[in-house]
Amino acid sequence: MILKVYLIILILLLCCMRTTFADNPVVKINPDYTDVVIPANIAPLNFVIQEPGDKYIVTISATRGKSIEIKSKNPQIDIPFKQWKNLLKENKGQNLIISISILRADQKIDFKPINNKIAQEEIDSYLAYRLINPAYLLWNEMGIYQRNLENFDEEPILHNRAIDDKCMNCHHFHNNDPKTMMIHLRAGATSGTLIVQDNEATKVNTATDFNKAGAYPAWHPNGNIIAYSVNKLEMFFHAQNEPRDVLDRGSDLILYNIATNTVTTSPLIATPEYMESFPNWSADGKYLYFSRTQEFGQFLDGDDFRYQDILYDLMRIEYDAERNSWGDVVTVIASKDVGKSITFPRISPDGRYLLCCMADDGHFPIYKPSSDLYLLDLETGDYRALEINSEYGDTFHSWSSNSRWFVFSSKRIDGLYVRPFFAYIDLDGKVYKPFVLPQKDPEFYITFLKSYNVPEMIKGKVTINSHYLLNVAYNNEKKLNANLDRNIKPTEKQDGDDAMYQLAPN
Amino acid sequence: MRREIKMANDKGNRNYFNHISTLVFFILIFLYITLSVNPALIYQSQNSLFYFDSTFFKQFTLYPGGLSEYISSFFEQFYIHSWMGGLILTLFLFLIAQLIKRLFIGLNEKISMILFLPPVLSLVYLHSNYDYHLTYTIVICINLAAFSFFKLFNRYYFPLKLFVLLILLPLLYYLTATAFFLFVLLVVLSQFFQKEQNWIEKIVTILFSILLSIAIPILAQRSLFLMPKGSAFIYLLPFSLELVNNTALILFYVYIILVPLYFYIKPFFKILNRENSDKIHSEKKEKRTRLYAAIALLIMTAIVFLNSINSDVKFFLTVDRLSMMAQWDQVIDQMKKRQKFNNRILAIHLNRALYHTNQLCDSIFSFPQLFKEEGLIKTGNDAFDVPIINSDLFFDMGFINGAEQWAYEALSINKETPRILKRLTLVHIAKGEFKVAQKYLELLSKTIFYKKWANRYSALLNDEHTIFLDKELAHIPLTQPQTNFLSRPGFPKADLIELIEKSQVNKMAFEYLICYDLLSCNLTHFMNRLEYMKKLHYPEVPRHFAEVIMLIMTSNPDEKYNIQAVKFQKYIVGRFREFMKILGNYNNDKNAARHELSEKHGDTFWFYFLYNNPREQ
Repeated sequence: MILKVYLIILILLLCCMRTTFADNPVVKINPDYTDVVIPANIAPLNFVIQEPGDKYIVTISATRGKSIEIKSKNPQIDIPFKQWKNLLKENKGQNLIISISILRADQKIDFKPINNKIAQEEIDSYLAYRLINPAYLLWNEMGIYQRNLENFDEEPILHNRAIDDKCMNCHHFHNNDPKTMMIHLRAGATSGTLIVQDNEATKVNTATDFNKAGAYPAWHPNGNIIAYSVNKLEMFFHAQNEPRDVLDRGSDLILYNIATNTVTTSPLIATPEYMESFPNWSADGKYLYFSRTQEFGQFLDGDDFRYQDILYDLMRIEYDAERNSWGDVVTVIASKDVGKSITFPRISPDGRYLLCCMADDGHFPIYKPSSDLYLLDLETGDYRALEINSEYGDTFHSWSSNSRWFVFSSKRIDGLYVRPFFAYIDLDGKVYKPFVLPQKDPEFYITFLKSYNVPEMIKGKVTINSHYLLNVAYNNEKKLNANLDRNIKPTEKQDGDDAMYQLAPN
Repeated sequence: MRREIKMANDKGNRNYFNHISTLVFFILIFLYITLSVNPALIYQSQNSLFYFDSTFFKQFTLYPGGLSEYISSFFEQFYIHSWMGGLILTLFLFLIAQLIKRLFIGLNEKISMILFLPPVLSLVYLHSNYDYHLTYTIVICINLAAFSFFKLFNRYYFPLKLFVLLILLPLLYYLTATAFFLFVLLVVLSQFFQKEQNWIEKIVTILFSILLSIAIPILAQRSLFLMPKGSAFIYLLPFSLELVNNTALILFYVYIILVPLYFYIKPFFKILNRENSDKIHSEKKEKRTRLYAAIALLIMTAIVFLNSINSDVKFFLTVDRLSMMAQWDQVIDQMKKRQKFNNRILAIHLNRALYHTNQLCDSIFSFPQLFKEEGLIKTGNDAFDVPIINSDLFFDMGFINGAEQWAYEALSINKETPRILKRLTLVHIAKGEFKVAQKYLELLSKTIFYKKWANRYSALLNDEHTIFLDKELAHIPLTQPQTNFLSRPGFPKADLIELIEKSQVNKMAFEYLICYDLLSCNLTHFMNRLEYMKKLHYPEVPRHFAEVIMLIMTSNPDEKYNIQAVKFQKYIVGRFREFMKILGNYNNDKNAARHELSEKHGDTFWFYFLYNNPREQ
């Protein structure tokens, strides 16, 4: 009898507690690490409690393992590294509860606990990206960096300080492999494309009598071919909202064969009637996806430039890598059907999904606040805007090697500076609320004045020595000039690299 | 006994004389730097930003010499107030003097200031160059201090000395980059001329220092830091400075390097070494030497004070600073003092000041407009040398996206400076992009001198309704374009036309457009553009407008113009008649009439038109 009474009292108490939690205020933390799904191998999600208080008490707990308790007079919560790692490792697939209380004028305030989830699948352990100032016409300092996602270590792969401040971009990896990558260096003595295979680097000039040097790359799954778009990019400016915009005056796709050092293409993907850009291979390498719109002249009426009418369709073409033969070009999503310009298709390594950007118009979604991420199910052909899109530009994305995570560039924090966000996608294609790349100092993003450009997930650390890469970059005697496929007719002389951005004068 | 007392008194007098002279010398230096060089202008030129923040600090740790630049940035922020800048520079120069003095210790305990003050004058000369950074003085200080430290080990066990070098050299390279060669040179020379040491030890120490000083930069570039090729041997090496005049710096280095020679060529300096000379004879000599030293120093000081400042640069920075602080009357006053200037940016400042004092359309031709329409605005690639000035101008005009673009170009060129961050803050507030504005305010609130400004605007962000009551932003709602257009960098006229068409009222864009036409002598659309004047409610027709109307009406008497709304002062008619009469007196030979016309009507559009219109020419 007594036991029953205690049991009833206990149940009542629990009910009261539930009611209490439900009524508790919602805590604001920065960055917003609430209701997110995180990988078990991610670095501690340090945050700042945006509530005034004299003392802060944070408990991080999960089903298994020892909870982490942090007491601090400072609202900045620095989570103990080892405890965090152990807790996440033991609780894959479980919820991660962050309980926050504060003491304010001798009064304790308990906030509604934050309920995050630890995914079963881990994320690739490194992220490579370019750090650059918000470029208008000029750039200055930039570098390609790698960040260990399992802790806070960041180091440059290359920095333009070492190449006389010249531009570097379009870093790209083969199948998320840190030993096989390429980086494009623009202008000056180091100009060319660095191609790294198994940590052996070669500098190649991909320009031929047919094409300028390749820009947007896509590495074929067989590791021997890189598809590039060749663009004539130019910046123009708006008087309202986002000032920057980019147009492409002409673009084609080419394939560079690493083994034979040969550039080839097909009239199907390099035609004067269309501008083709943003190549990406299907997971099996049988299809080349890309974006395509009409040739630039179609958007000019005398002095009137109808930039709003530039809409790219999502296309694909069959390709047989062994025979170097092409199938027909097929429209995957027509821009007229969605009323948007479709760019940057990226296919998940398992071949199931294609993630792309759709914006109101144009070529360069990073400058388009209207840009959102769309997910196309390649099995069903269904596509939809992701629920995680924000009012600001959500753009450039890349997949984790296990296809369960993707990283994308978003301006959602302040509307201008691009930050990498990670989102979990389950087997059914449901995408969960993303979280920003964690930093040791949770207020890091507030004062950091560089954007994260082209974030690419990789399975490990890029171990190739930066100084070795520089030596290769400077060694023009060993630079390979790509040959043009004998079946391809040369065009007019090409002028080398695009100069959409310029180096800031000293 | 009496003689000893006399000697003691003399010694006291000498010290007293030295101290007083040194004090007077540095007071003069302080006054010169504060009042003549004016560190606020150095600040205007360099605009250093410093704040305590781990990310800010980290970027200085990534390359050799970065930490010296960090220390320099800290001190340079105080230049915002001239007296603070003067004090800091004087203290650093005093420190250098003391460190140089220490080079002599061991040679002679009583050192005439003639020995250690001339290098200070070299540095005064260099710091009178508004681009010269404090970093270069800091790296010298660090290396001289390190050498003083190293000297402590001179008589210690030989391997210990090598060990100290092994530790000091990499550290100095990291702290001061290639300025560590100064330390190496001092070590080599001091070892070479040191008498107490045996030759083997000397040679080993010298070779060790030289080899290490070559190996460290190579190692740093090839394995440790990502540095530009070749910079491992030149970064922060003062001779690599792209300064107009390096002579002072070369003299400074030569002077310091020559000092250790004193060990060897002691007799040459005997005149300064009082204790070894015949005492009575040396007393007389010493007095004479002191006198010569004082005179020589005085002459050197006078030469430095009179020759070190580039008056054109100083004038430019003065006007730029006044313009930045919106002290328009003073900008005009300054420009009146210098009627002849060959600097497009000054022309842009002047015309902007004329606009803000409501004189643009009345007095633009009262000043020489050598740059014609290009003296109004820069928007193409030629504007990369003045991006922030361009940004300011567009902001005044309500063309916020133009201001944004140029402020970010400035950020690329100059990196973060308070001036750029302030401009970016206002740009994003004006656009309603408060999150970005808050970002820059956070940064500025971490500084010493912009915290108050940042707090004021942070408070403003909390009350969106009062934002446009702020005097910096009050003009935005009326002047900013209401609909989009494509801006055309390099074609400012097109942007001005769009701004007029697409904003509610934009007086500045209108006046700049009209002046653009007038300065390019293009009157084709002038009469049509006058329609816009009705929106602007001028109390009377601006003088230059009236002059143009007179000219057009006289040139095309058969044309009918609707100028009912345009009434102007009668004296304009009189002046025009007089202008034409003078020209007639010279049989319409404009070259012959130029002098008289210039004297009597040089401030009119007619005069400008007559001598600048390509068709007339």
